Amino acid sequence: MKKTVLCLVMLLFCLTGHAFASGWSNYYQIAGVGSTGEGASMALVNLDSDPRPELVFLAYDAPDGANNFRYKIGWNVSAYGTASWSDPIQVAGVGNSGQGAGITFTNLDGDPRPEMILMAYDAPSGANTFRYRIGWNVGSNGIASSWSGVFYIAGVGNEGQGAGVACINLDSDPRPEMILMAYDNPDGGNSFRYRVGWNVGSTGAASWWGSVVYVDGVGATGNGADLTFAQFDSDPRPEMVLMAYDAPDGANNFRYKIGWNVGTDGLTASWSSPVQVDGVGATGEGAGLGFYDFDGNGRMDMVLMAYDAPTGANTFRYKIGWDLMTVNNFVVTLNTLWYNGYIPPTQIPSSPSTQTGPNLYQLSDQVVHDTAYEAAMDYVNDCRANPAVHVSEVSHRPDLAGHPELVDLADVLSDSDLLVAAIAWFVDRNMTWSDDAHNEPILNNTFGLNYHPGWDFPIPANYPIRYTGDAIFTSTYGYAPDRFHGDCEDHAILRAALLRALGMNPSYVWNVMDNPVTHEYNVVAYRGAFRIMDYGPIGRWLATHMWDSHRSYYGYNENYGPRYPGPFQHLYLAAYANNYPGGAPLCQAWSYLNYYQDTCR
Amino acid sequence: MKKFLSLIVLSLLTVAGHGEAKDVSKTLTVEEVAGTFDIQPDTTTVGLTYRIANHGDDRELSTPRGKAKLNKEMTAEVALQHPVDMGKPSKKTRSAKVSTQLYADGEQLLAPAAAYSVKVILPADATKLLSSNKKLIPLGREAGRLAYAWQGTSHYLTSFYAWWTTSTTDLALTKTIIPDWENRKARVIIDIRNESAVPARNIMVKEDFPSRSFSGLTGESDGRFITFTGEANDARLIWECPIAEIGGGRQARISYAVELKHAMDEIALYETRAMEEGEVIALSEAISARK
Repeated sequence: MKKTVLCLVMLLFCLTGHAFASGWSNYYQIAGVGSTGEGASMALVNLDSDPRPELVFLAYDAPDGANNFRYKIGWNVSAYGTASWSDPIQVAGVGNSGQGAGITFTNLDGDPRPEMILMAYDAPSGANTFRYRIGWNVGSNGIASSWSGVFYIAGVGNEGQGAGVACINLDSDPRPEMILMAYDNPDGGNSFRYRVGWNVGSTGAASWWGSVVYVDGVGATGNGADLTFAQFDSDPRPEMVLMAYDAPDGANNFRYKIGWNVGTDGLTASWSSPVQVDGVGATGEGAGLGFYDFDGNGRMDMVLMAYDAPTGANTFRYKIGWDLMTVNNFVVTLNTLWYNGYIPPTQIPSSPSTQTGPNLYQLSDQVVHDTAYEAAMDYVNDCRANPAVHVSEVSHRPDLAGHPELVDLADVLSDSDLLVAAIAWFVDRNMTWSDDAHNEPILNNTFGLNYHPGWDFPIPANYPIRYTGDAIFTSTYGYAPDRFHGDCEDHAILRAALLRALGMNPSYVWNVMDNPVTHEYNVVAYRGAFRIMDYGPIGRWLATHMWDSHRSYYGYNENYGPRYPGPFQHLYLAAYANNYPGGAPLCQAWSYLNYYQDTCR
Repeated sequence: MKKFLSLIVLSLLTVAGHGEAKDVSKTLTVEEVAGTFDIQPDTTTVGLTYRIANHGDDRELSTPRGKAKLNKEMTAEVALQHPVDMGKPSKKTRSAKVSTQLYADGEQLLAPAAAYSVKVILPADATKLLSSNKKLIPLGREAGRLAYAWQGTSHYLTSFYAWWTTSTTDLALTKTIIPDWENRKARVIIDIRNESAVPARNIMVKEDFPSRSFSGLTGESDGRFITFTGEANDARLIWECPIAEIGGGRQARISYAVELKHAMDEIALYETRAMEEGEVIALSEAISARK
């Protein structure tokens, strides 16, 4: 019972296989527990009779004199990651100065109630030490029935910038292991350093402690760090996830790496490269991470938390990366799929080999971003002006259901389903079909471009924005005046670019074609599955308009390309958009309803 | 000792401003926007006056054509110029776009205007507004120029586009769909009224459809259907119908029928275009019919 939450997390990962996440929520902010922290962490656990989990945020509060642990409990976390938060609960600390703290739950005694382990990375002059206390048999009110004394474990260096604790069973002995990690901070790059306490007994003491394991860090300065375990691949050995809240000049960011298949010796088979996610402020005093399927759609979500530290009172800020997804039998690392960072400068594609997602989406051009935000704002305007048109698009949101007029910009920018609905609506509303036989000469002759990409004349996303709404374009060949013009693949390129500019995960945005090629459109993650995005509002393709040319075959996106049809493009689509033919094992036969409705996930 | 050092570091960061939230949109409230888009062939900028309440620190508001300072914790009226792209004119068609992006300390302001009222005045040779991405209310003519109001409440001010014609032929198109859901067909009727006193001659009425959803029904149509096949993925069904003449003040009715190629709950059709010498001079509304 006491390992229920961790086991549930691991089971769900086992069911879903390899994983990566879609868009991120905006961050949620809740009041902190003091003005100065010297570490923070988080845990997910179920403490009460409600099946929804509790989210527990810990900070190691650091007033003058002795520090203390202070935690808050977010009761019964909703499908959107929100919760009802308790007042702070204080537990005596383990010293006067810390450089990191951690929290985890496990079961150590025979009582079915879980134990809470609170750890601080104590930082006196000279070598640091891990110090932890065990709260025995935490009740349904979040309070431990009693607390142990302090356990002292040798640290892993003299200076740390974050620490964490986790419990898991790694060997054949049924007693759990305790892993203590610190984000060591020497001159130059930091490193994660951890030790394994083997077979923690019912007193809370490990039988013995392993030597220090060194893992390359993710930057030179951190404002917190944490670790947890999860199951990402089909190998039964768990993955260890190490995260630091990287703190360069300016805004911080979360950076994590995956240690694949932790062995019975506590060592991993390999480590992924760091994955970066935008942070939640410029200064933190601790950070944490965790995994749970909050929206109950069968796909794990990821929580990243930082203890934000402005002048005055601190706050907990957390964000959720929704829907880690399956990538069957395909060797991927998270960072190749989850790309939230810098968009490299791109060039206008002049040949099929350079017609890649980055080159066609043109995200380095500011007008694409400005237009994307305009799309979101125009969508909100239309939701308010014509709510009846958008009712189905908000049906997944209990707080908005039946009332599209309540949608605001923050909703659109933080909800990938609303992003998809907004861009589908905006492009349909503002783009008119025009054929390539005319697009190429108009663009080149009228606007002085020298763009001759060859096959099928794909128009980069910034060209419709900059040029095709012009009078000469709209009238010379009798097109209806409209803001953008282009044929089907140009619609699809613009839709993908606008979704990406608004932060939708690149792996969830595809340009796809049938075989033989007669049509190009988008396949995007929407309502928990990959679905059609084509001419018209998003809802049109979930109900009717069944085109055989929606039998998707070739796909490319910002990570995989180029656009030119070829076997690799089919491989990408089948492997990554996994409710498509050749992807999910449950969906061998193609049918419209199978792949665009809810049969295959 | 270590706590002391971290406090010093924190103080330095605060002084340097790194601890400050960067989302300026949350600290600015756009209470009202007003102005006139006086569009002439040589227009390069138009002005808008913003009344903005600043709930944060000093801010610099900017557009690509101007800057203004907004002091902290105060409400002020700020006049800013916005760029206008007049586009390249064709024989009968003109366009203008106004980029309304407003930046606060370099970040795009993502705040709605509580109230806005903008007058749009087209050039003297404009005879009919063909299309706009905003809902414009006609105000008639002001000093011989077509004028419109763009106004409302609680609205994000996004870029403005307008297209108009200089043709003196004045047509009004009305389109009606008569669906036959049971037989998966639809008849479309287009009424074309000549609003001027002089005859309109050699008009081409044109419309296009996704050819995967519709096919033209031969023998039940004025004009003709053309299946356009592009380079690889560009298929389109086009219908066009020539009209030799519509007398001044008279109306012509033409129609076509299409087959629905699969089950639909809604038939959505784009605008029908009336063209003169190959250029659009009038549009119907885009319309739809639901089961």
